[in-house]
Amino acid sequence: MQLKRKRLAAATLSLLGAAVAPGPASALDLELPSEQLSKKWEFDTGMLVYSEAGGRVQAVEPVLKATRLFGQDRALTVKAVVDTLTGASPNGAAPASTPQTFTGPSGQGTYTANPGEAPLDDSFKDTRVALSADYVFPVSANGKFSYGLNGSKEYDFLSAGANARYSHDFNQHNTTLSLGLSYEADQISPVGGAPVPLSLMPPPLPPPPPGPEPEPEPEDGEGGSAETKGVTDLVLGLTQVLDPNSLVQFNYSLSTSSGYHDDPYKVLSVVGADGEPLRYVYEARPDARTKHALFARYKRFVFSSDVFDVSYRFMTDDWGVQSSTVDSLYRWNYNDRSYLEPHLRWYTQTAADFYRAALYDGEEATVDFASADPRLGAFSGYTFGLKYGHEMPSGNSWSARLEYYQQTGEREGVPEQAAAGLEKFKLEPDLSAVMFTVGYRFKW
Amino acid sequence: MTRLILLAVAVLALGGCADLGAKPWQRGTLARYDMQLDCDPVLAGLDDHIYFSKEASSGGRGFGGGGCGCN
Repeated sequence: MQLKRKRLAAATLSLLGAAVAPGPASALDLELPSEQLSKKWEFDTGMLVYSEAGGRVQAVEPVLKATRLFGQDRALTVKAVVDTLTGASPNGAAPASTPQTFTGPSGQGTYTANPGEAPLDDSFKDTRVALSADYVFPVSANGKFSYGLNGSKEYDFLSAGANARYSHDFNQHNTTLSLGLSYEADQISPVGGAPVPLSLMPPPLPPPPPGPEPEPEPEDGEGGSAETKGVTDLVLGLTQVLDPNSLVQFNYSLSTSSGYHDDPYKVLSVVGADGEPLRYVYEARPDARTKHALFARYKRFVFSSDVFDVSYRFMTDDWGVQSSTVDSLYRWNYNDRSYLEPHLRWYTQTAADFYRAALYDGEEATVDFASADPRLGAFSGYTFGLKYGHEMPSGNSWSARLEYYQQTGEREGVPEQAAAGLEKFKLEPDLSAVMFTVGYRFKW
Repeated sequence: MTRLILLAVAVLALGGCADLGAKPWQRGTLARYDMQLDCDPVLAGLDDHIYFSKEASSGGRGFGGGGCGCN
């Protein structure tokens, strides 16, 4: 009876969706020592190691999530994430036939790209700390409310947000409708100040005379003028149990943002007819963006032991980006305590209307917006992965996942007048990364 | 008129849903941990952060990422 009640509660919680469910009971509770069932804290910990090929971004990201269960479907969840990033990131400039040297964002130091290579800013280094807290509680036999606060801080960025969500069950808890709202305020303090969009990037200073190295000025990330951005999100969700073995989820999400959207460290090459750079200008993006996303997911228990999970997302925005994402998992529970889970993800996006691989001489005075950020270009991406998980007799569990992510870009945004000159360069954005994640979950 | 049609569709959809589902005593499978929509929320959060910072899309599964200067 105890087990059945727990399972009912878990099934109800499952309908509330990712944002609020405080970790329902394991299907293996029957085999757990009784002290496990009475424990009030659930800890979910993990660590990601992310490594891009070619000396690009490397990240280590530990996560600690703790949920305090108060009974009667009340739960408080707190989560802390630390994200340490190093490595090099494309600065947006196109390759050239001669070495290209740029000044770092702080005005200190330079970096140089070899002929034919896309310039990478290797001064990229940051640590991000993010904290969040959410509380969920029932407001009626069929309704649940949750609210939460979140904040994050990194070297040149500060964010604070709040969210609320209500969900209601119908049809004997087989149908759940939910509505979520969130608002986030961001403050961006670019190193060296926010550059004027489409203004000339200063050429690097001549090398200093030989002698003792001057003391670098302390960088506190507050030196430049602060810019702000506000983001409002709305999520409407419908979850439906189809039969005792399957369910579907549909979400519509709307995200509107206004304020500073530029990447202050990204530039564009201004090239002549020969495709060689004449100068570099800072990028310029619109100061508002509206995104719509439709998400559908199907989850089914198959072959009396395994789980198949597939989802599709369509996203479109007023910057001209349209994307499709298919994500699928197959959890093979090859015995009562262990599983292997292959993962396949496919993604494709069109370029933003203002994505330009480079600008032609003089064009920077005629366009309103331009960015060579590869993330706004057209590309497809694949992720292949495999996860192993094991539940110990104590009820605690651990998992490890290894994945490979590959982006393949398309050649777009090339100025016609310089197309022949740029023919010799690879302008398509590309990226590959290996991701390794470990997780450990325990009760206290 | 559009609102009326939308409302009618919503009511019909909900009515249709009444034929679907599982009885309370048929929920053993749906209550399994691995049948939850968020059976690994920490991993899902890490994934959302990676793809938010490397692609031009966000949202869908929940609120649309954010809280990061990476994009």
